[in-house]
Amino acid sequence: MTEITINELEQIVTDALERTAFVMVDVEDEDLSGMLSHHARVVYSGPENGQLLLSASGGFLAELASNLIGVEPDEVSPDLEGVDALAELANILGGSLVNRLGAESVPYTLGLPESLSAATGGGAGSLVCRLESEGEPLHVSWTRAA
Amino acid sequence: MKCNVLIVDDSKILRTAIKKIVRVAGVDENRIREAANGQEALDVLGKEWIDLVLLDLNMPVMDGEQFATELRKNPDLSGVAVVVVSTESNQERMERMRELGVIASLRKPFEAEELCKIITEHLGIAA
Repeated sequence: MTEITINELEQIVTDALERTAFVMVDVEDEDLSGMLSHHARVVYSGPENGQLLLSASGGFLAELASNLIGVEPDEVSPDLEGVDALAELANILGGSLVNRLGAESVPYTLGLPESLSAATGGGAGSLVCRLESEGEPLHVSWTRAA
Repeated sequence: MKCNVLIVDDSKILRTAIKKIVRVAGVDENRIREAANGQEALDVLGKEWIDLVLLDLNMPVMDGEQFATELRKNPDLSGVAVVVVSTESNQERMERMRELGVIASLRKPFEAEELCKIITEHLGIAA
């Protein structure tokens, strides 16, 4: 089983955000969990199974979505474009993760990303990176199936 | 630039983002089409000529590999260029895509400049 550290997971997320949407993130200094309002998940299967759960604030989604399509943050809705952007980010991160797990040479199947009304999974045993951009949080939780 | 480009991706916001890149590459906005899956893409191709398809693989209804398979069954569409833009990294699957006629691929996450370069190269647009 390929080991991935919290630092490597953070690097995967940081790289995806920078390359796709010019969103710069830092590790969260203080607990911003109370601001998390939107969630998306992608599951994968193959030599091992697991899921990525993404949770973000509305402000983070506005920044992500607006940067993706090149408009001002107040021109997008966290509940429309923001939800779509979070699901696509889940898809991109899922692809990067299974690639890191060895998908180039062994087949993995990445499910379709789904938006969730509440965070499910991502509890004990998950690797969680807590990031923020200008005070708006994004948490990414990776759970490997036993 | 009088080339027709079809963006096939189930993410609406990513289609919008890619559409901007295609415009920056020099393609007129009224020559850019969108489809949310392979079946919708085939429907578009049944109605008008498309020079370049930017194709995601992981989609509902009909995925990118099924789309490329159907496309190659139709000799009238053999001249349609297909570039895969997806998270896919499996070499075996990408080899199958090349055998189906895919001319290039770009893995997500990508930078706008990378996709712009592929579009200009394959449409013969001066950078």
